[in-house]
Amino acid sequence: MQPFAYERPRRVEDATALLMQRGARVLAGGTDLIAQLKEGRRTASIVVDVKAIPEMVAIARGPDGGWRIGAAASIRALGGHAGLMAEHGALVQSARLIGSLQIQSRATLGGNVCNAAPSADAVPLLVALGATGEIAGPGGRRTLPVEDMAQSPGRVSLAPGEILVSIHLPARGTRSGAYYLRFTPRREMDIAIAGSGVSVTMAADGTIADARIVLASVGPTPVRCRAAEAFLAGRAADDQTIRDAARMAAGEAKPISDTRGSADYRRHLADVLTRRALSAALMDAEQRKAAA
Amino acid sequence: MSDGQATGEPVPATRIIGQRVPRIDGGERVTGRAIYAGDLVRPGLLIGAVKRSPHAHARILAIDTSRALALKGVKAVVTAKDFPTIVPGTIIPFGETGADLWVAATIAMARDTVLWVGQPVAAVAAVDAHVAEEALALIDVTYRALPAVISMADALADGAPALHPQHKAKGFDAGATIPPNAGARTLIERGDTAVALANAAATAEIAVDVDTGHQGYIEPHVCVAEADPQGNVTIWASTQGAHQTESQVAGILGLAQSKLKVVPLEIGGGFGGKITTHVEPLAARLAQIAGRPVKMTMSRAEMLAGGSGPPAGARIRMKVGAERDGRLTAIDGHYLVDTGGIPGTATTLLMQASTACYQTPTIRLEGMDVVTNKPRTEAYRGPGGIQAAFAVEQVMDELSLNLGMDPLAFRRKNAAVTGSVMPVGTPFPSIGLTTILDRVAGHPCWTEPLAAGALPRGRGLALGYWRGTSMTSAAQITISGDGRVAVVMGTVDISGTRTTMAQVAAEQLELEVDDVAVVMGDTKASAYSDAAAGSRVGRTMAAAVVDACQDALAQLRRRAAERLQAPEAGVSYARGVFHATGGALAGSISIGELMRQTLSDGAVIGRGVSTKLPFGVEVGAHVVDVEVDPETGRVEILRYTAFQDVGRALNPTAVEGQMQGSVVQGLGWALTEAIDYGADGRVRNASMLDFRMPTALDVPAIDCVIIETPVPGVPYGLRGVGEMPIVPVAAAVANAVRRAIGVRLTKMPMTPERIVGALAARGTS
Repeated sequence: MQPFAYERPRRVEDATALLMQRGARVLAGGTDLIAQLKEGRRTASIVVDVKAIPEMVAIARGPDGGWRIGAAASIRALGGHAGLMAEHGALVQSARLIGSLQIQSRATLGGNVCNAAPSADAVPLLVALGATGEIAGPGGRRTLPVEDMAQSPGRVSLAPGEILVSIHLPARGTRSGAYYLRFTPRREMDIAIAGSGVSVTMAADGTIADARIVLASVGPTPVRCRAAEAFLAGRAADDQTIRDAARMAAGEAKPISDTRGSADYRRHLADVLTRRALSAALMDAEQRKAAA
Repeated sequence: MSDGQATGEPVPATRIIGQRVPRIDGGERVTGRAIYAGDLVRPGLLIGAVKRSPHAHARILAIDTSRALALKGVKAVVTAKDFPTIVPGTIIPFGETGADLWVAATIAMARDTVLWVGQPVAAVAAVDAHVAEEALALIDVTYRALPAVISMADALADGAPALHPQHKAKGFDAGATIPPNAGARTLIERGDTAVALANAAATAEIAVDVDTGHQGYIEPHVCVAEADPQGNVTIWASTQGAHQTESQVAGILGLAQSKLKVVPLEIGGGFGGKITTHVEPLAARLAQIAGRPVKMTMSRAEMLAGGSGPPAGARIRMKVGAERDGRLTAIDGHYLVDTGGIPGTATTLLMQASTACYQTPTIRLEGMDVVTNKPRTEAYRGPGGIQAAFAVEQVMDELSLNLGMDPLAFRRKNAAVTGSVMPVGTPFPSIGLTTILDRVAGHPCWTEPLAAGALPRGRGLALGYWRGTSMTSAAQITISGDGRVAVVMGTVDISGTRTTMAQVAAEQLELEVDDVAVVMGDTKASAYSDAAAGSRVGRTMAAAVVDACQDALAQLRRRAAERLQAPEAGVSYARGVFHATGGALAGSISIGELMRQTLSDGAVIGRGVSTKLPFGVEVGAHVVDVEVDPETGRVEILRYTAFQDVGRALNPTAVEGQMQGSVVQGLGWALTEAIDYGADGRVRNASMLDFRMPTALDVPAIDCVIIETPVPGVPYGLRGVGEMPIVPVAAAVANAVRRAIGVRLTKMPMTPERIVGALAARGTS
C-alpha cells in the first residue's frame, strides 16, 4: 500500500474542495476502500473521511414525507432507526445482508451505491423504490436517480470533486410492498451469485398498479427488468402471472460466468429469486394494507 | 451426547484419564495472549516477501535482481542460485518411509523450471513490508512459457508435455505403455473381480470427481529466522513438527543440522499443510545473508494460490457386486490422484481408506498419481480419505438400494471385524466397527423417522476408516525442587496435547494435572520426534510419557529408599508419597519433600521414547439428515451424528473437539470448498470470500458418540482420533442428498449449482 494523506472535513463544501485534488478518494465506512487500497486494486493520494459531516450521517424525514438518509450513515444506524425500519424494513434488511455485524457498524448505504459492485445488496431495492441521490460538487448540488448512479463495475456517475451526500426515499403508500432476496452458498459472509429486489404497488381493485424488479449480480450494473414490470402492470397477482413475470425478468438478465457461478445458473437463480421475492413483496403489500 | 461405555476388553479404572480437563492453553488462546510466530518481534527485524511464478509451466531463462538490490531498504535477495541443488530421491528421516527433500526444496524455490502458478522464484528481505513489496516488482524474471497441463485428463492425454521427463514411473508392468505424467502405479489384487462381478446378483458402479481443496488453516505460513555470527540459525515456526522443519531447512540450506534450532510456537491450524516447509528455508537464507532476523508471512491469497500445497483432487471409478443376501463378492476400484507439479502423492492411502471397512472375497484396486501444473499437493487430515469415501460409500449405498436392503444392515453384514483381511492382505488388528454399527442401529439419529418438511429431506449414512501411523515420539520428565513435574515433548501441540499429556503424567505419577507442566521443546531442548501427523501424537506421546514417568518414578523410589533407610522393594508409592514398610525407619516422604532434600544430589530425569507402537486403526460412522432446495441447490444440514471408536478417550472434550472440527471441515469440502483453477493454471478464487469455507452459521450442532474398544499393547488402549472423522462426511451428505432428491452427486464439492445441474440432467435424460 502506498502512503496517502488523510483528511476529515466537517462540511460538505470542504469535502468537495479536497476531492478536487488528484488521486482523492472518499472514505465512508472504508469496508471496500481500505481492502482495495491494501490489495492494490485502487490507489489514493488523499483519503477524505466524510463521517464527521453531520449532514452525511443523519437519518431524517424529508419534506415530501419520505426519508433522507446520509450517505455515510452506517448500516447499523439504519437498522437501529425505528421509523425507517417500520416503513422500509425490506430495504434495511437488504442492507443488513452486507458483511458481518462488525462490517455493518462501518459500512454505509452511500458506500454500497458508490462502490458500484453489481452484487451490491442494498442497491436493487433503492432502485426499485425510486430512490434518488443528492450530489454535491464544486458547482453546487444536483439530484440523480440511484438507478443512474452505477455505470459499470466500480464506476459511478460522479464528476471529479463530486460526492454523494444523501439518499432520498420517496414516501411510501399503504398498498405497497417490497422484498429483496439473494442467493449465496454460505448463509452469511458471502456475495450474491444472484439477487432480486421487487417493489409493488397495488391498485384499489386488487390488481398490480406498478411493479419494479431489479436484479443483482447478473449484469455489469443492477438490472432493471422493464419488460417484466410492464407485463405485471394491471394484472391480477396470481401464481401464473408471478411465474411468467419471473421468467421474463430472468430473460432480461445479462450474466457472466465466473468463479461464483455460470451465466446459466445465474439466470436460473434470477428466475427463482424473482418469483419468491415478488410473492413476498405482494404479501408485504397485503399485510401493510391490512395494518393500515 | 458422548458416552464412554466400554466394550470388548475391560478398561482399567483411571483417576484422570477420561476426565474432561479444560485445555491448559485455552485461557491464553481465547484472550489473545498466546504467542504465534506472527506476534514475534526481534531487534532489527526485516520483513521478507516472495516473488512467485505467474506461469503454470515455464523455463526460467534469467533472473536479474540488481534493480531490487539497489532499492533503499532492501537487505537481501535470494533465488535458487543461493541454495544447493538437491536431486530427486534425497531421502531425509521422517516416520517409516522418510521424505524426499527434493520435494520440499522444489516447493521452497523453483530452479530452472516453474511447475505451477505461485511457485517461488525469488525472495527479498527489506526494512518493511512496503519496501519488500516494491522490491519484488523490481526483480526481473525472463521466462519462456511452456505448454501446461492443468487437469489430469490433459496430463494423461497422448502427446501431453511430460513435466518431469527424467522421472521413472514405478509400478507398471514390463512393456506397458506408461502415460505421460504418471507418477507411480499401485495395484492391490486378490481373487478375480471380473468373474465375481459377472456372477453377482446385484452390482453398482460410480465415477466421482473431487476438486482440489485446501486445508484452510486460519494462520497462513509464518516464521521468524535469525542467524548469529557463529553461523547458528534459529527459526521460530508455525509447524506440525519442529524436528521435521529442522531436517528440511538444514538440508535445503546445506547447513549442519546441529547449527539449526527450530522453536515451535503456537500453531493456528495445520491439518497436514505444515509438515513440509514453505517460507522457512527462504527466511533462514535471507537472515544469513542480511545478518538480521527476517519474518516471512504468507498472505491468505498466496496460501490459496500456489504458496502452499492443497489436498489432492481425485477421479475415482468403482464397481461393486453382491450376492442376493447382500454379501459382497467384489470391489473393483480405479484411482487417479492429482499430485500437482511434483510426483509422489501416495495412492495407497485412498485405496485402503476406501475399502477397509468391508470384507470381500475379491478385490482389485489400481491407483496412479498424475503430475499436473498445479501446486504440489500436501497432506490434509486423513489424506485421501474423504475423496475415497466419497466414492466407496456412495457406491455401497447404491448397491444397498439395488439390493433393496437397509443401508445399515447391508454394512453390518459386510463389516470388517478383528482378524478379517485388510485391503493390503494382512489380518485386521482390533477393530470395533460392528460395535459402532450396532450403536448406530439403536441411536435416535437412526431410529427416529425423519420428519417431513416443506422441502425434500433425506438421511445418509457413511462409514469411515483411517489407518493412522505411529512413527516415533520422545519425552523427558524432570522433577523440580517442589516435587512438581515438567514434561518436555519433542512434538508440537496441535490438538490439546499439552493438556492430555498432563493428564497422562498426572495419572502415572498419581499427582494432579496442576502439578504437571507440559512444554513443546525446541529442537535442541527436546529429543527427536516425528511430526504431528497421522493421528499419532496422542497415542505415541502418551506411550513416551508413560515410559518417562515410570523411569522417573524408579529414580525417585531409589532416592526415597535411601532417605527412609529402607530396602527399595519395601518402598511403596501412592498419590505423591513414598511409604517405607519393613525398613529400619518406617515412615513416609512426599515427592516434594524428597526433592527439597535431595535436589542437589542430582537431577531426576525420566526418559521416554515410543517407536513402532501397534496401529490404532480408526473407524467410525456418520449419520446426517439434510434438506435440499431443488430450485437453488442449497443443502441444509438438519442433524449430524458422528460415531467413533477411539480406543479410550484421554479427554472426551478434546475427542469431541476433534470429531466436530473434522465434520465441519468435511462439510466445507463436501458442499462449497474447492480451488478454482483457470485453464491457465491461475487460481480464480484465492480469497476467503470465494474459497467458501463454512462459517459458524453454516454448520449444525454435531452430536458425538464415543465408543471405546481398546487396542492391545498400547497404553490405555488408545486409537488415533483426529483424522477419521473427516473421512465419511462428504459421502454421508451425498447419500442423504440422494435419498432427498433421488439424484447422485458425483462431483465434489456438491455446490448448489452442481445440485441444480444434476437435477436438470435427470429431468432431460
